[in-house]
Amino acid sequence: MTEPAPDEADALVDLSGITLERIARLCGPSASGLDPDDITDRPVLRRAVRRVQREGERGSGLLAFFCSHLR
Amino acid sequence: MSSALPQTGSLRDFVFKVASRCNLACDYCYIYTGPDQTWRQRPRRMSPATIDAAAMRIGQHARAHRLDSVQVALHGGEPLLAGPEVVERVIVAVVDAVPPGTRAELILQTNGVLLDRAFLDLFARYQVRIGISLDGNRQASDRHRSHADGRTSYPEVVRALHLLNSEPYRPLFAGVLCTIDLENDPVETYRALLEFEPPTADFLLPHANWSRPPPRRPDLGSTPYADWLIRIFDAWYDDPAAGTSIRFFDDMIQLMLGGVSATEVLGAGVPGFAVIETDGTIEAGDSLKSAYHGAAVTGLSVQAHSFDEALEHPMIAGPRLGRDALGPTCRSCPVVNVCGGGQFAHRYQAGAGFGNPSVYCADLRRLIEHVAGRVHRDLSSAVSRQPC
Repeated sequence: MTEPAPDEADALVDLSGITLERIARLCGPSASGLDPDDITDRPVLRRAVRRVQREGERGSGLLAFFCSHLR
Repeated sequence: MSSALPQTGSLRDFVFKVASRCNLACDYCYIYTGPDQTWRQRPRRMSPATIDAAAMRIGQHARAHRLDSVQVALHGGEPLLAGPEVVERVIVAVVDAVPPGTRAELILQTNGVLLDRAFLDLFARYQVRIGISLDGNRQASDRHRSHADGRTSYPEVVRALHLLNSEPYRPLFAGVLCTIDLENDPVETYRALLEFEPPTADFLLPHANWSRPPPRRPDLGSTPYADWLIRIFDAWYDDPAAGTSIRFFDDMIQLMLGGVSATEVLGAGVPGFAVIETDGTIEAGDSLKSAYHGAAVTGLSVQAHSFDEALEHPMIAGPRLGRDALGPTCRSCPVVNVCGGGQFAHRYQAGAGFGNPSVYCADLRRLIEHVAGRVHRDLSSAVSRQPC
């Protein structure tokens, strides 16, 4: 199996255990308050963030990781 | 935050095998050229009595579980071979059977050859959305998707796509399904699909398992399917006007962000679905037919059994168990939240069952690492601007 490049390996670590519920606690009253347009210019990533906000989440979350990391 | 997580203990997706034969002879078809040959004993099309029994069971299930929606896919073989009367009977039966408060979402998956204005007018009346199988440009299509006498199907499919894309039918266009062939250039394939402006495009890994491995090419390295898909992902992800959703990639990013997958292909704990064959037998996911003869058989039927009973069958319950259905290798893998062990059928090995990683494990991991790396970099710069 191919070993991931260092930056990709970091991303894998981020896939464990942090949820959008946590981003809500860290970043404001509600995760739904995040504006996807402030997060990224990429249409596909904006769509993904909106879908998580609309449909709810479970499991891990990269968005949440970054907020918690910066805290 | 609202939740659209699958309601536990219920099925939401039902595949109606309206017709059990096909008017094309695609050489990679998992139904007709795979190990399962149960189609040979099936009626060519669903009878009215079977249609009514199946619709009744769906209504019964929706009522019992208070489902806010059910998705019913008209499938085959080629479903349009059943003819407009049978197809309309299915649609009307389902719409009439679901209780108030349950939305019936109908979709039809076709090769497009028989799609005409009469069918489209019927689908427009009932808001049935249409998916069309398309493997890319003419060269890509002609590799596999031919008539039994070897004639190309490509011009007929293109005609259907143009018709579906015209008003007033365009709102019915659900998307295109493309089976990956490493012989085709990935970006050319992607561009060929985009020419028809599909709302959704999906790339399907060829059904394969450890006993029937996928096509490989020695010159393409150890993760050829990942490398193929990564070239499309980068083109799609970097497109500032990407209007087409690619379900495989969208679901992958969704799972990375903490959401849920909408399909059986990715994510542990997948939405459940059941297949209803033309004779009324209830089967597990169609892709299981690529494993061995009878793999999808449950011994149940809509004439005699409810979908609650079907839910207890191991081949329907198994894929829904999420991590509990995975072997130790998968359970300890850092990307299992995203790949979910891969598609259930792709884990099969004769003599060992379905407890293995996917036969595409290395490809899935390589692709997930790539996508995670790109999303990681974007969010990293974005979150540094957020007032956390």
